[in-house]
Amino acid sequence: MGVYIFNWKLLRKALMEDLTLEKSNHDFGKDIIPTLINDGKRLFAYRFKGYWKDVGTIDSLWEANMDLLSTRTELDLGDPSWKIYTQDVNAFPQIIGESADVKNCYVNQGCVVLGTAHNSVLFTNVTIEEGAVVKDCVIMPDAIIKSGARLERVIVGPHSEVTPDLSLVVKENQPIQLIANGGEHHG
Amino acid sequence: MASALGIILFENPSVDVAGLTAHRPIPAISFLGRYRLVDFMISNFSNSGISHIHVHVKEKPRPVYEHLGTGRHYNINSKKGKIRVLYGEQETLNKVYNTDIFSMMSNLSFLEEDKNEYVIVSSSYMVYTANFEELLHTHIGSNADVSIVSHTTDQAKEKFLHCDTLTLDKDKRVTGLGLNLGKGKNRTISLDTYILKKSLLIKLIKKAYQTSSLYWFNDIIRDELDTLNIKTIPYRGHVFAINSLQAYHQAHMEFLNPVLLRNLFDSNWPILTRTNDSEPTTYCEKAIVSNSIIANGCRISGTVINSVLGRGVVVEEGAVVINSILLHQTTVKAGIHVEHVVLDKYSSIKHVKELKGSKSQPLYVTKRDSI
Repeated sequence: MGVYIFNWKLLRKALMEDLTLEKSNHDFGKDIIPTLINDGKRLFAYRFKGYWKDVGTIDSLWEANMDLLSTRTELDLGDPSWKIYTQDVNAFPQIIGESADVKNCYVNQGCVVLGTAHNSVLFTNVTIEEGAVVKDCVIMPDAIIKSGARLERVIVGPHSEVTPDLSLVVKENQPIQLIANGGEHHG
Repeated sequence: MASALGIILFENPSVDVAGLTAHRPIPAISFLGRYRLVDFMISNFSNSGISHIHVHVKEKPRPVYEHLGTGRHYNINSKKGKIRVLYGEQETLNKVYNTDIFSMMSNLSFLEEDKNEYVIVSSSYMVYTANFEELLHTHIGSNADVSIVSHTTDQAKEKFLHCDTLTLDKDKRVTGLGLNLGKGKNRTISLDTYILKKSLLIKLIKKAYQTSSLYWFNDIIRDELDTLNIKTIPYRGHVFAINSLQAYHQAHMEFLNPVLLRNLFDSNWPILTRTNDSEPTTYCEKAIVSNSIIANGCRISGTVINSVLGRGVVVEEGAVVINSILLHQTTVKAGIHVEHVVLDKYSSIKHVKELKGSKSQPLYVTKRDSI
């Protein structure tokens, strides 16, 4: 999982030696750990039980978000004894409209849902206009899904705007699509 | 920057949000899922550039201290500005002596040492958004000694009951201060917001205190109508006077109107509050949610219509919640139907099949109760 605990003196020695090796990638997994094993040092593994996900690709990022909808027992963001702290922006509460249809979703404050959202994760201040449909989607902060748009299996980046006529329905065996037109001024 | 001190006085005894006020003072009452009433007036001050604020608390100050903290979440810079929670610390033998005048008199030194020339005196049960910098300019330009912000309504038979009413002459000068007893529909309501010089406020406080230990601030204003030039500044936006359980419920129901909400949640005029790092809300497979305001951390498996849910509310499968206000960490168990109810914090509806109030008499379930 890329998490190591070292004795400081041993680590310092190993790193200094590795620094002199021209062929080394200077990588923990590829160089430092194998060298220590070859030198006969005592290395132990800690068997982690619980939720773990590498979110390094668009597909795995999407999967991890979907995990929030299905495996609530393994990753409980609501556990009061293990709060996940974040920048909690000053947003208004969620507003769910008269004709909204929200099912199996994880929705954050500031969202305005007037359309349909199924099996999706909506970040802070997302707007789903009336008549818009999102299914199996991850919609990041401040994105707007305009009326009439239809998205399935899509990640929408922060501050993006999805135009009314856009229909992007990704089939189950296809890679997840990303819409990110929100510019780079917001992280 | 408005050069005024903001003061939030506590409300007189006619304001009683039955049930809710047994557990906390008016400023600390939850509102619209994630706010407390005091947030609206403090946001008005903060957004208007007023960074010195006095909040007077009649009783049970603990929730107010906890909520306001250092004021950092209201953008009050604690090195330049300050929110002070003030309390009539001197012992009063009888509640009737615990007036706003008494509280200001007990804390007079904080008022005297403040550097602002003007004060804006307000209260937390009146919910509205207003730019006090503009109102202060209007006041200064009008040559009035005191300006009372007012709201003209044609719904005085149903709303603003027991609020102060103003009688005006044609120059907008206030000639009478009365009480709305619901007799007529057209009334000019005082928003309990007064703009005046700080030196005059101090004079009025002392005068009121000498006149009678039962005097409230509006009593001395009434006495001075002939001697001072007291005018009104009309306010045309939406106003909610949260002075009864029915008014509290009614205000929430009215806020479920998209136009009103858009006005309130204007990004140029943020309503600031203490944040809490709650997780997002989970809408389960069988959730049906319509026309509702929902805070974070809820788990909804049932039906929620025309309702307001605070943080961490649980609505189980098959439960139905209509026209109701569910505060922080309340639970409605599977299959139960609630309508026109106000559930106070941590209460849960477990055993009864149905719990119904009405529009004019919403049903209140007390804090930590289990039914």
